[in-house]
Amino acid sequence: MVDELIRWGGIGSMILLLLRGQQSGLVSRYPAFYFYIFFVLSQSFLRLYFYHWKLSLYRYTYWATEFVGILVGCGVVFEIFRMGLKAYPGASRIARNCLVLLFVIAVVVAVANTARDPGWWAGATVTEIQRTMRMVQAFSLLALVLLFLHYSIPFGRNLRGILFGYGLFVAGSVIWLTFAYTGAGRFRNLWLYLYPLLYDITLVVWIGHLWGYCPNPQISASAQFEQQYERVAAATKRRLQEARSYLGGAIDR
Amino acid sequence: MIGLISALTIGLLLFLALLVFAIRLGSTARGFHSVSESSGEQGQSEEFEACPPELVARIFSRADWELISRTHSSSLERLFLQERRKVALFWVRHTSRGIRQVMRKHTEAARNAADIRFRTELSLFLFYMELLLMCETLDVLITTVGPSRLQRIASYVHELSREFNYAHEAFARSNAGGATETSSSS
Repeated sequence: MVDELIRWGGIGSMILLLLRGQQSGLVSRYPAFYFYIFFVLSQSFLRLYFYHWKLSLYRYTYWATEFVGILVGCGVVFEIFRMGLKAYPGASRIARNCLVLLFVIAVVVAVANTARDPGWWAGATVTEIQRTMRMVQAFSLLALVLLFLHYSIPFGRNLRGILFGYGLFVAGSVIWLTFAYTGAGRFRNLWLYLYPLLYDITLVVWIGHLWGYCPNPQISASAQFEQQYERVAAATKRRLQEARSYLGGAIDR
Repeated sequence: MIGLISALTIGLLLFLALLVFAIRLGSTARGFHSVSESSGEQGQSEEFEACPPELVARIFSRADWELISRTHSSSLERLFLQERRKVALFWVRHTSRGIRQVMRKHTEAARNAADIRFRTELSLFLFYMELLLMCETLDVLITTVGPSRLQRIASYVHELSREFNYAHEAFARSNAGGATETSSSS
């Protein structure tokens, strides 16, 4: 009963989200995000079909769509990066470098693990692989959020919702996949409820933030900021010179 | 395979980062408006007044303490330590606030700079974190040990913040130069 409620609640929320996105024109503004929602909705129906009519293939379908879902989710992460930093070329460049660095580290770790234990991939469980992929996503999101904080990037309501919702979902997935992996049978029943419930909570966050279009504050002000940059740099230079003479004088004593 | 603890840590860190992001979002938006909607006057009002140069050396000097201790009055000694500690803590927090202000101004400018350098940003950030850590350490040490025994570490903080200012100034100069070149070429 509860799992049915969670499942159909999720499907209903996704349909509502897509309809509102279409009505408010957000689908064209955040195509990767809405494609992700469309994909998850389609996979839900596909899984339902296999569950009721071809149960023997359900397991394969479940995990295959789960992996494709993670890859499609990478598009959401890229969209957060692209839209959030569109008006900030400096911060965007730093973020790109950070993401490339993370990707290189992930590849190096994977290669090192494979070299140490060539049968790792074959021996790893589906949950393990899924958790590893979610961890890479979590790392990327964490790096992006830290950069947004460091550079004080202002966010519009829509993009903020996408980031919060997806970040919440990815963080929850990493934690619960870890518990599912370590706890085996003990956490399995709880996991079956919590994972879809987590997604439903995420959908509520998205619906709340993506009900209508709200522009990102930086887009309209970027040109003005460019003009201010020289003034800001000159003011900073003057302040630092004052601070230097003050500090220099203090140290010389 | 990646360890379980690291997986949990990443998940929790992401939760925490999102939480901090949610809390700071309102203030960030206000900060953005303060910079984008107003002109240089806003920056002027935000500037902090520097403490007199001789203050720092004096706060951490042992000379005053030695003078007071010669009176052999425990109440006077206690009063002196209390007051000196207050002044020292004010100075540390004031310096820390100033460093944050410089970094905030820097990031506000750097996020729009197309010719930004990853290595420079990284080194500035590490330097900034080191300075903040030093200020926090000083804060704790002043509270626990007292300012009179901290002259050397205070001077070290000064030296670091001066280097930080030099590095940031070089960044601002190179960007201003780039902007001038762009405007003259166009």
